[in-house]
Amino acid sequence: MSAKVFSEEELVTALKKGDQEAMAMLYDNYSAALLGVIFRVVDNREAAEDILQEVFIKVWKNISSYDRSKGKLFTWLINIARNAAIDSMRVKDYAIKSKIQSIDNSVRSINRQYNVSTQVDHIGLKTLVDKLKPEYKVLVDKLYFEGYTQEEAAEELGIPLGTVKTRIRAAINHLREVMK
Amino acid sequence: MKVDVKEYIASGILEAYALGHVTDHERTEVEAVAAEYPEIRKELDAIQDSLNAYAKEHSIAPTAGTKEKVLQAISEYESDKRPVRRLNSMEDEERSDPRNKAVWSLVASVLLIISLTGNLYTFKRMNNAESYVHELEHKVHRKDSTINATAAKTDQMEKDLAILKDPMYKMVELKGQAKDTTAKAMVCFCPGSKLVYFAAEKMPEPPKGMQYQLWAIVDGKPVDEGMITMGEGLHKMKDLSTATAFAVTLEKEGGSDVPHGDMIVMGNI
Repeated sequence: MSAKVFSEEELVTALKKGDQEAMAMLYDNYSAALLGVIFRVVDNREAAEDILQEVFIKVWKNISSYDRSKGKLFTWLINIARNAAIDSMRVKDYAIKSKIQSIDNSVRSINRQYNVSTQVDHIGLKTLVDKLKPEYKVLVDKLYFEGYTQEEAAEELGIPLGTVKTRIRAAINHLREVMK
Repeated sequence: MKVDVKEYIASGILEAYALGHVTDHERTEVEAVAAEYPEIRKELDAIQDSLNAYAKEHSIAPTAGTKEKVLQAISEYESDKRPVRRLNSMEDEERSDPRNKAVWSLVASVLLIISLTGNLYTFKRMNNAESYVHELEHKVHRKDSTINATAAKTDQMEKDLAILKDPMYKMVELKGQAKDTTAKAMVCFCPGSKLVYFAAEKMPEPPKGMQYQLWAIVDGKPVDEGMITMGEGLHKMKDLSTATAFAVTLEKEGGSDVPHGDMIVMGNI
């Protein structure tokens, strides 16, 4: 994934010119991350891959509207992927499923919290996810992946809106710390 | 826009922006501020990088064929644009040829005339059919009234016949008197049921303002039996238990208490 030939800016320039090879490169660089984001929302591998295809076609059609001054390319791509995933959930009226999924996620995060030692995969190779405090993680997941508004997250987690605002800031600061 | 950089960073708006939780107005503001203050731009990039790194942690490698599907869809999307252009240019060529235009105009005109003629013909036929339906409706209606009238008449005749055949009734023949000896009438009288019926077999229409009145002679005195309605069949008169004779006189319209006018017919029981 890190074997880039083009810089991000060169890639964008080539895409704007309609270079289909640049598209292949874009796919190599970002498809796995985007699929991860989509999967977090739809929780269905097959549906997620379908949405991933739509996302790349959307990116191809709308690349002209991308503007570096408005943020990094990856941020733009993630927003498209996340919105496409959330839209597909709305269309299919998967609200109930998404509630179940959020319970699932809570269970998973609790499991992770108490069973870190049993997860052989991660021994000696702690990921960002593992380093993030559970109360931060659940908030970042809701706000970043699942498209909750801060108000919805406050209601869902049973904490005041002010706490959500300060906690998300602390969570992102924490992320930045552990990334170093 | 003048902002306190530290305060702005501390406000949490950059995190909200990075998470996509801002209004359109706020988004425009953050972008403007980030463009103006490199420190804020750097902070925003760092926030986005951290979230992006977090997202990358959740990476899932897509199935092998997905990349090819994406690239093929894009390549098809690109080549789909061209045939549209080709089609347009073909139409342009045809349109620019004046001979073609004339031929098409002629064809269109002929088709229009055929269509209009057809419409007119269909319209006329429809009108004819409609008036025919109306005519039939009238005929049916007339037949219906005739049948109803006939039925009523038949009904009346059956009732009359029943009375005429009934042995309980006394048939009293009333004969023409001095004024017109050919006049003729009949009274059916049933003393048991007190019913009296009158039939004017041959009597001239009374003059205007005049009416025939039936009298029963009881104990030598005339008793009013009611006014006579001209017309076919038997007409019910006033009930009566006994009489020796019947007579009809011509009276003023509405009748009299005692007979004043000429006696037209008369008959003894």
